[in-house]
Amino acid sequence: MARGSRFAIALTVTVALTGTLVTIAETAASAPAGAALPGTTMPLQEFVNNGLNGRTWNAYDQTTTSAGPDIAGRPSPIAYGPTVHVYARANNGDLMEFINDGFGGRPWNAYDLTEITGGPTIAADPDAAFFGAIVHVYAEASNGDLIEFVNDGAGGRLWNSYDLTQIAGGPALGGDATPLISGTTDQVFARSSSGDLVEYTNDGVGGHLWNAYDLTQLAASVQVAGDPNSVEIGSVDQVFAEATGGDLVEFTNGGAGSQVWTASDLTAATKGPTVTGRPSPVVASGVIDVFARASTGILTEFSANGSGGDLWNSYGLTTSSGPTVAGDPSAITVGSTIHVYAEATGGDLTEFYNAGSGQAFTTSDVSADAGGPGIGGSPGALLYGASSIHVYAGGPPPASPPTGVGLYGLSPGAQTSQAIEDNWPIIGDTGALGTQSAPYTGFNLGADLATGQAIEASGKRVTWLSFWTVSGPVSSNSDGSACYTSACYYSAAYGAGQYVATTIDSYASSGLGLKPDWVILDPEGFPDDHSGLDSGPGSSNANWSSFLTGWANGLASIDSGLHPAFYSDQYEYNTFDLASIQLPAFVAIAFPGPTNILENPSNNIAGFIAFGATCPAGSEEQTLANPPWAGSYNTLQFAGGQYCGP
Amino acid sequence: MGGALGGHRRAGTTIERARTGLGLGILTAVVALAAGCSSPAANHSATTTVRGKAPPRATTTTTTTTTVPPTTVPTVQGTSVQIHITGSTATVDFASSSVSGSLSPEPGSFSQGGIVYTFTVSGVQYSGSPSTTTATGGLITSVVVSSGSGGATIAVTLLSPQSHATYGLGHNEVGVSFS
Repeated sequence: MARGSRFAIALTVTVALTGTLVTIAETAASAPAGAALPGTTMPLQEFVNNGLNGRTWNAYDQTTTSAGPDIAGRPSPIAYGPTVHVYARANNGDLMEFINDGFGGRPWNAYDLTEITGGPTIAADPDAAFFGAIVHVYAEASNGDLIEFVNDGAGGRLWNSYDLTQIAGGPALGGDATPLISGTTDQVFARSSSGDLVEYTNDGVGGHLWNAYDLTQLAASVQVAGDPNSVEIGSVDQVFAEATGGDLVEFTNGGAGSQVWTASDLTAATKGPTVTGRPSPVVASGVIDVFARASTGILTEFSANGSGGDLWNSYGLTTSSGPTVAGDPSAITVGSTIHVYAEATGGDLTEFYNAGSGQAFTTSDVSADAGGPGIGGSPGALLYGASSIHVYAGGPPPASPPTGVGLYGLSPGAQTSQAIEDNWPIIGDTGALGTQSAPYTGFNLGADLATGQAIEASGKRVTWLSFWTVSGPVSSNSDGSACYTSACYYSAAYGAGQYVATTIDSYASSGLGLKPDWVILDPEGFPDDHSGLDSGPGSSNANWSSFLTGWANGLASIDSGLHPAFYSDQYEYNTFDLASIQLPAFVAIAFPGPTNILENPSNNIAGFIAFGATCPAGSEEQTLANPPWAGSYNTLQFAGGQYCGP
Repeated sequence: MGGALGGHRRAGTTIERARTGLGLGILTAVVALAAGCSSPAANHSATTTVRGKAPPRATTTTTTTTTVPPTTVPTVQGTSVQIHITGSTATVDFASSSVSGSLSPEPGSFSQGGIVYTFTVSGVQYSGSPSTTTATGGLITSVVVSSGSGGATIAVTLLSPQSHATYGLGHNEVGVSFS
């Protein structure tokens, strides 16, 4: 290995915990405390239990080492001979491969597989596995298609990409894909954009190498609300996911390649908690253990250990002496022991491990032990060799801007300055209206710069939300007519993102030293029905995904330091699977009496944008400070140009 | 080269499960294209666009808004619409409570020798008295918002004749600019 040998060392344990059964809790409608919002890009951190520097764990910033990009989301590591390959989504949406190959005299190098393959950008976290000696990496493309990146050398090119959704005629995805490869059988599980659990597999049925199956239908079971994860025991496939409603469900088939699927509700069977996010299953000593974050933040183990006469039992691994967790766990086995890694509430990478099947779990603060950074997303863990553990995650997260309830839609100038003086912690503005031709935004600039100038002049740290209305591709065809394909939506938003990033970067020439905390696409431009996304030929999950991903990538292509986000109403959030978008969401509600119709809110909701507020605003502030509207970055918009202090 | 399958190894034990009574579904394979090494998915190329004209940035316009007191019922309060004029650009913000759907400015027309431009905005219910904002120092001298069939009617009076109007659109906001 390029950075010298890494040797096994006994792990430090600090806190002894006992397993306890936990109860069901209500699902929150916003990001869990301590978790960075989806889409936040950070350096790739590597934590290794190599025992160097007099401590068990050490941390390395492999973005810096490789001169590569920051990443978003969960990395996926694999051991490739003597090297480690880590796959992750770059800040511009490209699939990156980080390798400690020592090439060019640099211990780690970063390779852009989207660029190398001429493939698409990706909109969710990738997951890698071996197919023989070939690496297969699966990810959801910006338009929702399942993409396979393979180092197959086909066509004289080492890496190639294949659109399995197109090849199999399968559904678009709504999140992370996870492969399960056994021999020559390659199965990829994911949540479809409609919420069903789906499987893509190379079974050759019907003369087609790849086919797609709807496991929710095959099992006559529930839809899923989160990303699945899988494991194989014997020849039986086990797929676990958060069901709509939060119960942990297990889908299992009749054997490898079998399309006879059944499903079980493990939350109900164990009287355990509801869960959020992507579970992590392992097989240790012949027993399946599934780790998931309970809705309360408690890391929970669902174990098929048969204890007490029940096949499945659940245990809360977090007690009063241990941390709750903020993201998805990643579990591995080392011999008969299980090691689970997760971002603790507060941001430290934390290890939960037991001494063997049935034993109590203990915890260790890996970030603290490594003297390293906190993390801002879910980790990916890898056992390298017999006992060397490598854990990869994005981190440290950027400092969070002030949270609370602020204002949106003020008149630029004196009113905005007054709001800042009055200590509203968040100010939102309209950067521009949508236009009928490219770049599909930019009408009536000025308010955004004025907001930034008012914030800077105040000397206060105020959260700055910059909303930009972007029209759909109403004149994107060569003859000037509308084009409502996903590619056109992507391109329209990409160009808008470039235009907006260029505009924001130009503020410095006006003497402004700040940039918005989030740059938010508001799809309420031309044509009618919200940039054509709510009805008519442009209305589809794929177009929403493409539009929002194009926005993020367009911004990043000009200024990777900007933070993209999007705006929607509750209907759109429900109807177009916007809970699966890996960007912060600002969701519209209206006073008086905002009604919660959100069906499956995910942790991508950064805040609620409330219209129709009136002065005095105390009661409305209180409404936004409590569930179900307790977002981190909420704003009120006063009706009719009113203004009042908090 | 090569490596272990990690978490995808076959384990030696198959666990028998008690199921929760969920039946078997019908196999619904969705098939289409023959498999193999297809060409890669379309790469999203960046589209860099250049704006034809810089947006108006004049800030010297002064504006005055008056709303005719309602004389009949029902009316929408004057504060349900806000009009802003900056040089050659005007924006009209409708109160969310008066927005009945997705706003959409319809094609308008010039009259009085290009001095007045009138257009309708659909997706909004404006049944109150006309709201007028005047300005000096810029191309637009006044904007009047009034009730109209199918929405609100906006009449923009200009200092000098114009022949081309462009629209902007946001959540509850419509803009018009002249060149």
